[in-house]
Formats: sequence, C-alpha cells, structure tokens
Amino acid sequence: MTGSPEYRPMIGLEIHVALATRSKMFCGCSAEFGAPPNTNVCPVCLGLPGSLPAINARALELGIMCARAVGGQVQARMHFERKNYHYPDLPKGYQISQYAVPLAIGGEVVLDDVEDAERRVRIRRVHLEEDAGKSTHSAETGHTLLDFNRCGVPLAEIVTEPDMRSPGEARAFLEELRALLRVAGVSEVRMEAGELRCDVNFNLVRSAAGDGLEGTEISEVKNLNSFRSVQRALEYEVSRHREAIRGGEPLVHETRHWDEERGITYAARSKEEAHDYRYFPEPDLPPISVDPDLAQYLAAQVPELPRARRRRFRNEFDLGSYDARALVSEAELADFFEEAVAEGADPKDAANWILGEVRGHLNATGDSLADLPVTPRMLAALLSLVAAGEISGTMAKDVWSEAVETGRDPVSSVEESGLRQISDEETLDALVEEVIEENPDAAEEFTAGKEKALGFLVGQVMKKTRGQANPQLANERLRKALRNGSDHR
Amino acid sequence: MRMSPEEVEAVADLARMNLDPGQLERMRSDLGEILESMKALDDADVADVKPLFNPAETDANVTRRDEVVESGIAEQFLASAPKREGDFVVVPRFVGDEEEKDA
Repeated sequence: MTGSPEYRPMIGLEIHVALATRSKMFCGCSAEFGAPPNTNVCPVCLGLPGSLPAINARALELGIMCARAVGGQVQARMHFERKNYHYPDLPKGYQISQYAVPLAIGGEVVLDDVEDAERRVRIRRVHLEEDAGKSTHSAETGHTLLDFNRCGVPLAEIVTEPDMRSPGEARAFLEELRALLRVAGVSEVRMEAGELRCDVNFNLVRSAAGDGLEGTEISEVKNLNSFRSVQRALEYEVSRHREAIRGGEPLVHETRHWDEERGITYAARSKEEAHDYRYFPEPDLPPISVDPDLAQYLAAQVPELPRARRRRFRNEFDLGSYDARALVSEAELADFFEEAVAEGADPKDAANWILGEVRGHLNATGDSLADLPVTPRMLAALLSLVAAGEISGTMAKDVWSEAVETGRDPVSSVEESGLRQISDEETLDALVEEVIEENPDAAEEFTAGKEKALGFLVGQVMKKTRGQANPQLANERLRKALRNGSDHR
Repeated sequence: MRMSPEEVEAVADLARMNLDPGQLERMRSDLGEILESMKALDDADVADVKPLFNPAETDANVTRRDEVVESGIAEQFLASAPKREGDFVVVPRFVGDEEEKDA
C-alpha cells in the first residue's frame, strides 16, 4: 500500500426533525408528545377506508422556514408522493412523503469551529413527510406493541451531501443544525422526545486515478436518536471499515442497526433492505404552489442565525468563541445577554454571569428563563455594583438567588440589608489594626515572610465584617499596615 | 410483452402475496395482457405536454389550519384491535426500528 493515499471517512446524514405544529401533518389529531398511547388517532392517520388527508398549512410554513435556515431554495411548485412499504406502524401501507420535487433543494451549513477551520456541509434537499407510529418490543410476551400517536406527525427530512470527514464533525454538524432549527422556531428539537432522528451514510474513501475517489462500500446506519449514538456508531464503522481494508475482506452496501448497549452496529436482515418503494404522486392531495411573497415573508421570520450571531458576539462584544457559542446555542440566554448589555452591563461580566449563575439555575431546575422573575435590567444594575466594588461577587450571587426565587430587585436587596461592601479605606484600616492586634502570631509569621499567614488575617477581617469587607482592599490594607508595622518595630 | 417469472414473484412479494406455481403462471399471463394493452400509451404524442402530477392541477392551495380536532374514536379504535395490551395494539414481533429497551 506504500504510495497510496490514506483513506478518510466520508459521511452524509439524513435528519428527521419533528415540526412544532399543534396538529398532525394531514389530520387534526394533536401532535403533542407524551400523550397516553393511542389517544391521538383518527380515521386519517389510522388509514381507515374513505378518509382523506388535508395539508397542515403551518407544517408547510415551518418546512419553508427550515429550508431557509439551511439556505435551501424553496421550490415554487411541489407535490406529495406515496412511499409504499408494509410495516405495522404505518397503517396506510404507505408514507406520504416527497420525492421527485421536494420542498427545497440545495443549501449549506457552515461549521466554524471544527479543527480550527471552517467546514461547509452542503445540503442536498429538504422535504416534508409524516412520521410513522412507535413500536415497542415487549420482552415479556415477545410481541410488538404499537402506539399510533406519532403516526402522521409532521417531519422535515434534511439530507446532506457526504461532506463530513470525521465522527466528531458529524456531531458538530448536528449540534449546529439543532441550534439553527431552534432559533428558526422550526422545532424545539427535544432529543428525549425523539424530535430529531438521524440516519448516517458512511464509507472510507481515498483519491484514485484522475480526480476520482475510490472507497469501501457504503454502510447506512438507521434511526440514531442521540448525537452521542451518531458519533459512537460512526467511530465503530470507521474501525470496522479500516479492519476490512487491512484484512482485504470485501464489505457490502448494507443497512445496519446500532446497538447502544454493546456499542456496535449489526447488519439488518437482507429482506428488510430489499426496498422498492414505488413512489408515485399522492392522488389525494393537490399540488402546492409556494407564493414568492409568502416564501419571502417566512424567510424574514427566520431570525439571525447562530453563526452570524456568534460572529457578532465575538466582534461587537469581544467575547471568546466558547462564550459566544454557549450563549448562542440557547437563544433565550443570548437574548437575555444582549438586553443586559443594552442596559449597561459589561459584556464579559454579563456573559460569565449568564453562563454561570443563570444557566446553572436553569439546568438544575429545568425552568425556562421566561419563567424566572429576573430581568436583564436587574442583572445590569447588579453587575455594575460588583464592578464598582460596592458588593462582592459572593454577595451578588446571594442577592441574585433571592431575586430568582422572589423577583425582588437585587439592588434594593443590597440597599435594604446593608450588604454593601465596605470599600472605604478608613473603616477598613481601623478593622485591620484590630485584627493585627488580636492575632500577633499570624502578623509575626507574615512579616517573617510567610505569605500564607496573610490569607488568615484577611479571613479575620471578613469575619469581623460578616463578609462585607472588600476582600481585595482588605488584603491591600493589611499588607500595608503590616509592612509599616514591621518598619516601626 | 411477457414478464419474467422472477418479476412476477417480486411483485407478488411486494404485495405480500404467496402464489403457488400455477397461480404465478396465470398471473404472469394476465399481467402480460395488461401491459400489452397499456402499450397504447406509447403511441400518444406527448412532446408538448408538461408533466402532470395530479389530475386536480390547481393553483388554489388547499390546506387546513393547524388546529387540533379530537376524533373521539380512540377508545373505539382500541376496542376493535384484534389484540391489545393496556392501551397498546399488539402485533406479532417484526424486525425494524423497534426500541427494545422501552418495554
């Protein structure tokens, strides 16, 4: 193999995202997740004879916004098709999907922090379809249990070109896509609710004669429902394909399933992959024309996308890429941040506070920021007290926690409780003198060169003031007093 | 225009039909005749005809508002299932995307 170029992974993804509608794609059943089994069902989604589907206008709108979020070209005219296959979780015997003319063609998602370089992942197409029911295997009886609540829930399927070059990159793409979809308001993308599921296409390739590529046969791993599984399944496939090359054993183009527990993929039975979907235009649904005005209006509804916002946060507010990424990945945090800065907060302080205190609280409680009685203005006022040295960081955290619980303005809490930090030198100097007198040993140790002793003395000042002394200033004044004292002695 | 026995078998498979050799041969002959009559379509001049995806070719987008309407048939549906376990419909185990750990 000497002289041959190295093999590298080539990865493409198909992502199914549940759209944030109230009702299903083609009927009025609730699309809500988590309802008791088989409660959101009707003749349409159960495929009963004589029922007719009707297109959910909002699903179409969200699909268009989804396509815009990934830069796709929305088609002026499109139609639905039947994808025929027999599965118990699909009562009609076909899935209404799109094939010949999808909702949108083209687009790209740019990953800006991958291996310190930009990576462009091209989007091939976005189409609309309906979800199937959920089947669960009952270990007890050996049967399959069906719940049709999910059957007919609107999905956007996003298909990428095989542009990702490592499992980590595939994961980074998914994270970026999730942020995009959330910001665009297309889907809440709750992973635990199965609102994003992913199929991966994988092989190893290397350049061959001319401009061509040669590689192993493609593996398709189906129905991964967490970013971690996507990455792990791909890592497994990388080693499996590498080993096959090493051992000179041929691979076959096949569908595989991921076993989360064992951490391996395994081949689907050959019967399952003998697909012949016999797509044809859905006769029960009229074609759809997308009015250019509507498409434009919807495109305008898509707010600033994460990548642009991150860049702006870095440039305008001088944030590091970690902070910018962390804030922008949760739109409500980013909004809160911007408003706090507009109210006069220092951007870096605000970012630290929001990513520490605020996010910590939200993660711990599962609350949403909108549920909390705190405002960006409160945070800005509090941070300026800290910046001016009027209160310590610890005090700020205390009054903030109180504000989060009760909605009490943290600045008035500070005023009323007299928590204001003692930052005037005269008051502190008097206390410093007392502490030195009361702790002659420690004072002696420090002047003898033992830096550590100073920490103890600062602690004593803090104790006397019940934490209200400005610790930095106390440190300074102590140092000064001790130095003068030893000079006198 | 005769289909090969393999083609007929593949179509039967897709339709979930088990055909014995006699049925298969009869089906093959029937399908051949149907395809033969369909060949008439080959004579139509479609050079100037745009593809038509739906007979109701219209610009009036027919959609419905995103509103929840309860069908009220949930209980009736479960009651009519040949086999149920709690609120689930029970079917023989099939291979696919089932999530075994949820059970």
